[in-house]
Amino acid sequence: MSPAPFIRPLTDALQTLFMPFSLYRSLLRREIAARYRGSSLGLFWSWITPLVQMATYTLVFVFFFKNQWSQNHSEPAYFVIMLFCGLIPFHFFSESISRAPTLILSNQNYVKRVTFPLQMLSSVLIGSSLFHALIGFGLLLPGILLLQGQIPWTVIALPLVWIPFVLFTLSMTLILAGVGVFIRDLQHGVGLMLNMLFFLSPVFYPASLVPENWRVLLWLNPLSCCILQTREAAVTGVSLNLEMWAWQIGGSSLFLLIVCLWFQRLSRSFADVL
Amino acid sequence: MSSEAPFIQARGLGKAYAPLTGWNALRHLFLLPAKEQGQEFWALRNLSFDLSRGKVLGIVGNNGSGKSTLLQLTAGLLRPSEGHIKVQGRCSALLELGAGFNPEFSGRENALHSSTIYGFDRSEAEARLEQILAFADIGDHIDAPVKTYSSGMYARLAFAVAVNADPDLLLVDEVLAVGDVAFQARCYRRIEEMKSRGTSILFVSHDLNNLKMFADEVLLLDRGQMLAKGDPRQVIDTYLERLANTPALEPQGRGQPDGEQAGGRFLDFCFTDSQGNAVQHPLAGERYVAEAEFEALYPMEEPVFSLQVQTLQGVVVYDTSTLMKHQPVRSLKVGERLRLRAELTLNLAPGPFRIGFGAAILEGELPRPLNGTPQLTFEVIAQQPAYGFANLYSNLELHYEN
Repeated sequence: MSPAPFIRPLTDALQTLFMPFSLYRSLLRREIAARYRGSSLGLFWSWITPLVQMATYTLVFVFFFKNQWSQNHSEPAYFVIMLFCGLIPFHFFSESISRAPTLILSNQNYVKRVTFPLQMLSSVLIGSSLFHALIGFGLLLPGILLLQGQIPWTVIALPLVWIPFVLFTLSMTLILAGVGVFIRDLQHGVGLMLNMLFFLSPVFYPASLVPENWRVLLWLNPLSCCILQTREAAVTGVSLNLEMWAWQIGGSSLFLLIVCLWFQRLSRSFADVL
Repeated sequence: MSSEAPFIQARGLGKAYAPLTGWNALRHLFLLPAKEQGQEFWALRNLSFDLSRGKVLGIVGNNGSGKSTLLQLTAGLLRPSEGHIKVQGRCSALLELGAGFNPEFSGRENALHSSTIYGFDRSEAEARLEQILAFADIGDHIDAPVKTYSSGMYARLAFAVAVNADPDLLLVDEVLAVGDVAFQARCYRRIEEMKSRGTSILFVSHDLNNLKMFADEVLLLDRGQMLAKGDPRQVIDTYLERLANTPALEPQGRGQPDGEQAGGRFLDFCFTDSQGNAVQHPLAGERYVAEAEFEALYPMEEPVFSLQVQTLQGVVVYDTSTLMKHQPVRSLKVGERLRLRAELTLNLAPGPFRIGFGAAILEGELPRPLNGTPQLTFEVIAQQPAYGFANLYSNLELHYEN
């Protein structure tokens, strides 16, 4: 009945990301609440920020630059929607990744003062970024309905599209959090990389703008992959390529598993160097 | 789990720190062992002891003797470099009070959260909240952000959370020094109670008299080595003897010149007993001497010199100056030197303090500080324990009505 002996460490490694769940919930609640603690508008900022960003980008790209999308589709509404589809994954990714290198450093109490499953810091960070992404979708979907008159039925694939992406981002967060303890320069490098990624991912241009022979790179980059798939599911109504998705989910799960085991081993020595 | 097995078992326990630099840091990231260890530093070495259920082990030693490392190893926060330590059961560490507290959140929220860190789920944590609140006794403040708390209130709440976690092992690191006498009494009563219910306790404290009272055994650490272990009275006496005979270490007992600064510089600052031996552990109530040399680097019109004693937290315990003493000081020419000597009676409560000289010039009515000596730290030893800063040598008489 018991699982093979080598399965146990694997499941244990994954479990400590979210278990004990009451601790995870408590940390996540604090993480989300802490951001706006003391500000009078509170959680309202989570709604205002994306709206103001959207307005700014729309102004710049629709009216100042003449974007490709706005040439094909005369109304700027289409551009706004496509842009929003790109911004939600990007913000989810950059919010998690940019804080990862200092995640352990800024929570030294959890390393040196109490026994604590340190990998949970990463999953809490992901949880809070995901919470903000959900708020983004809460704005996006009614927006699509309003501006396009309908939402394609393929939208039901959205959660599927996001699972591998979330797993991948979680793995990257774990890696950066672990390496960041030993290599302090990491946070500067990560900031730079995110800056590049913002322009190299199809956030505010369609995949068709990328030269044909380079386009495969977009599908190899999990971030642009998620952006393109989110657009297909929520706006253009292209149904999910299940074969490709199976590869994504398999690859990201395996990646997370390896990273998790690595992080558990590495985290034993955190207290030595902090 | 057999009941005969000791609750904590440490054998040949050692912890070394080696700086991880260059390639070794990279190798470490790929989980490879470091190549040719650099100069490693042994914080603790060759330590063996047992602790059974319901016993209290006190740990004494100077700063840097490995006390905190031992607690962290016991809590499983550090991995031993050699030997092993086994602990059976749930451990609640008071390594630092309120480790998981967020100052922006209320006391109630922090108490609930800390309970979940100790491994309780939400409903268990809520159930415990009442006990915690009763013990901490901070009234309506419980719903105010923790950042508004006084250090005493903060400590009370944090201690309440830790002891109400029903741990099998409690690690106490010098945390009971905060809070008022009534609260300390409550803490000790609570610790006694936990002890009688089978909780084992590792107790680091500078409060030697309390250790004599509470501990079943005391372990004396010195630079990572166990020097003695056993009967609290004997070990503590050994410790006090050693403290009195320890020659001051160079960087601690004798100040280094502070370098060139505005006005002038201090040289050769030392804190000694009346025979001129540098001391680190003076006895309360005795006379000691602080001495330093001052060299004026600029002409100083109306110099003022001062002597200050502070707690480690920076609370000024005593401050006097030539100005306050209406002592005339003549102006100093460039390169002129003078010797400062202050003899003082240490009417201080046991504990660590800092001492230092300062130089200032008079601007109108007020002295403008220029620079000071590096401050020397010393730890007052007293025959009679007391809390606070000052030693008032009071007695306590009891007169019964009939």
